[in-house]
Amino acid sequence: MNPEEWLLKARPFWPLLLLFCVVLGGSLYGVAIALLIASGGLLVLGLVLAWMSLGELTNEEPLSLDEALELAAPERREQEKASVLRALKDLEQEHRFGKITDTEFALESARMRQQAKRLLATLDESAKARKALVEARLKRLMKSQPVPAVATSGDREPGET
Amino acid sequence: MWQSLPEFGSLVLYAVLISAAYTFAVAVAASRDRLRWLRSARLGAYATSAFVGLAVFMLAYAFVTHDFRLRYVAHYSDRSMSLGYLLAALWGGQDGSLLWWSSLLSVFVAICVRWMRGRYRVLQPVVIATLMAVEGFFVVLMLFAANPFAVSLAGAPAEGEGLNPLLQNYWMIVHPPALYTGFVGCSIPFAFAVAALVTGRLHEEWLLAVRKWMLVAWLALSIGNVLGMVWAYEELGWGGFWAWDPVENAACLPWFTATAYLHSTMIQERRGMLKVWNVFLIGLTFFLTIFGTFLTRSGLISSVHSFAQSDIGIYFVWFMGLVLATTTGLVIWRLPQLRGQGRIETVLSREAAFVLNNWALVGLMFFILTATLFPKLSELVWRETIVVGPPFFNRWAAPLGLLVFLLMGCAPLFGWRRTSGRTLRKNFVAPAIAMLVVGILHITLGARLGYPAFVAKDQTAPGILGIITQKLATSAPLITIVLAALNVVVIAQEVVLGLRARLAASRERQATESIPLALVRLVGKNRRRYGGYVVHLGITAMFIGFLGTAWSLTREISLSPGQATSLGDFTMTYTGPRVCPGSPACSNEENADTTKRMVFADLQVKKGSKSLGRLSPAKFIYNRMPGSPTTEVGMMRGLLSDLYVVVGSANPETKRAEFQIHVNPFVSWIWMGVLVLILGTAVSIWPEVSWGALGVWVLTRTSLRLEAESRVARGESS
Repeated sequence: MNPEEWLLKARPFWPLLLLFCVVLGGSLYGVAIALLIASGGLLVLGLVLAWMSLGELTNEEPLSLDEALELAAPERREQEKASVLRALKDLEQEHRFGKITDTEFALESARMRQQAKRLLATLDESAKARKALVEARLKRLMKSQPVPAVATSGDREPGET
Repeated sequence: MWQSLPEFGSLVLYAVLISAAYTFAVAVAASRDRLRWLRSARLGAYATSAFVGLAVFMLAYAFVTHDFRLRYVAHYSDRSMSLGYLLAALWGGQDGSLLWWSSLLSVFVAICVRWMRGRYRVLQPVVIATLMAVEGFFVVLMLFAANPFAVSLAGAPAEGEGLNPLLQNYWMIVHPPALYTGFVGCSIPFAFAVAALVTGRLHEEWLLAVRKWMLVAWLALSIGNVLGMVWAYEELGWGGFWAWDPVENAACLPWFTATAYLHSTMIQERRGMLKVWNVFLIGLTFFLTIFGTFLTRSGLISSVHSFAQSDIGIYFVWFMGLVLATTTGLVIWRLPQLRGQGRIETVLSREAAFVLNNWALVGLMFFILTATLFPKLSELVWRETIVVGPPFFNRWAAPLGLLVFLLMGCAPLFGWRRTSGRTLRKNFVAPAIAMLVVGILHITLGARLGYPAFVAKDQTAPGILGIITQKLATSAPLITIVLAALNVVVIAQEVVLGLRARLAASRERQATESIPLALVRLVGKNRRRYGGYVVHLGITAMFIGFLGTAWSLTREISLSPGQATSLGDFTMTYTGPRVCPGSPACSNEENADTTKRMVFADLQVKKGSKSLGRLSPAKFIYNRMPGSPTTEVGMMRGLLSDLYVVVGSANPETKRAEFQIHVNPFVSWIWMGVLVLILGTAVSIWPEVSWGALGVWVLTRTSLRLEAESRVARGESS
């Protein structure tokens, strides 16, 4: 791993490092110095982020997988499904609590289940292509990289289970 | 001393402005599905937040190092102030409070942008652009009207003027940040509402996104307002906690609309109705947060809380106009998509109860707003000076508040869509019995215990309306206690029903579950519902606290040393005045404080035959502001009542002192109520559904990762 990659990997720890420096500076030299260190850290952070932001504008490369996943989002129907299922759960609860009659529950529940079924069918349909793709890829992967044979008891190192 | 600090501070503010403007432009461009630009906008938002943080730390550094070249630092601090108050001075005046607002917004922006990672791709660019526009407004305000890094034209004084003594109270260290967090937090739901309107994605997506942000903002508003009450109660020394002061009123206005939204959003989620109303409520809540700041800072209305006044009002007027025009324009544009899918079928439904509750809350908000602005309006239009005082507010706000309290109790008893008569009768039996029993007990025993059911009030308005309000005010204690019983029993009934249903389901599955475990699981599975009920319990406790004012006792008395007086269950004996530093009776800490002269008037307090100790109400005369002595309240808190003593004056020659003594019942219930409210909101905010657990989403992510890994294995490039 080169230093640039290493720095990028350690990105989540930058604020912790800054905090450590602030606390150390503060305890050794007082609050004013702690504030100055925090200011310095924020200045560097702001400039780096602004530079990275400008870099993105001029970057012609397609997005990497991690970058794409960062921006990806569940589709609208997925959220609708969650919403309908939540409403159905509420309805069942109200029925159990005796807030609505059996007839009202049957009517409303049937309507919601119908809506949920329709959404699930649409989602399954749209996932079909991706599912096939995953299966094909898995098959190809398994062909190209055969699953290693299961080790027999005689091959085990002493103490290995 | 850092020679170039003032210039550098201003430079940082320019950097914030440039960064916010750049991010706004990139975010707008990113809304055309340019993913690289969206990444750039996200990084730009983080950078803007970092620069705002830098500006705050720079100002804090200037305060800590007593850099009196900065006008703001010289005006609001001096060398004698402790570190806590030096940092609190950051928001003690106008210029700093604008920077503080901006910094809290930047924290919200950073958290929101991080949170949007992997969600709301279509809404994200507009959300970021809207937040940057709000951030930009506050920076423009600082740069062109109220720069905290501006230098004194007369040069740096040797010593600063010091923070207003009224602000040197520990509650003042936490009250403004909490209130501002609530104000600023409302920007996020507003940004999502604008994004939904601009993109036309007006289904449940944005509502789900906004719900928790609104809850966080609402919680902070609740805490901020209550901390303000604590500060007023302890520091202003008039015996109460809410005086219907214009600035207090402005701070509570967004709370009403936010509360209304938190209920009406459930109707849209459940029934697809009230879409325009929900957008209106979010827009109005945001507008009111800006309006509240405008009222505090513009000097439009004089108030004990308006510590800073200036001519920045016109900037706010323009910004409020822009917010109003943008929101209205977008709503009109999207009106066809905002039409509701259903309608209220009967008044005997939960949605009808919620709509009534919304009308009462918004009505209360408009009443307070109108009454707050009416004196100014009368002065401008009719050239008449009118004073709208607490009695007027109390006369009208109390019935509206009780209506909200009634609806809060009744709404959970209704089912969605419609509730049959039989179900309703069954649900109302226990609460009705409880109300009846509590009402009878209150009427028969209340007066004997010192909490009468009826407290006579004068008729303050002519005609039938005057008679009705007088009767309502007289019977307010009974009504409040009966409604509190309704609320508590309804919540208890809901929990019992839930437990019964859960235990029955366990038995059907032939599984055994203890009652405490079933309760924990019940709440865990329905955090929103039961968290809401806990919040209702907190509000009920607060209502009892507010009711306590009806039974409060007050006495003004002049005492010589050795004389005693009684009020309620308390007996107080005046032992004489004490001036610190200087008197041998002063503590070491009091003698060491040379920043002020403290005149104490000590009282020995007894309840029955039990001694409760010494109370030392005082007047503090600060060396820097000898003309404005502060009142220091002597207080003994209790679950049933607080003893609250204020000293008016103490004659050093005759040693005679004037006292104002209050016995305030149930005030502690307000503070306890807010703690319960915090607990309930925390339960409600806890996440229920994680995107990671959604089936298709997992499949999509897995397929993408597998595909990428197989490409890498084959040596293909991305």
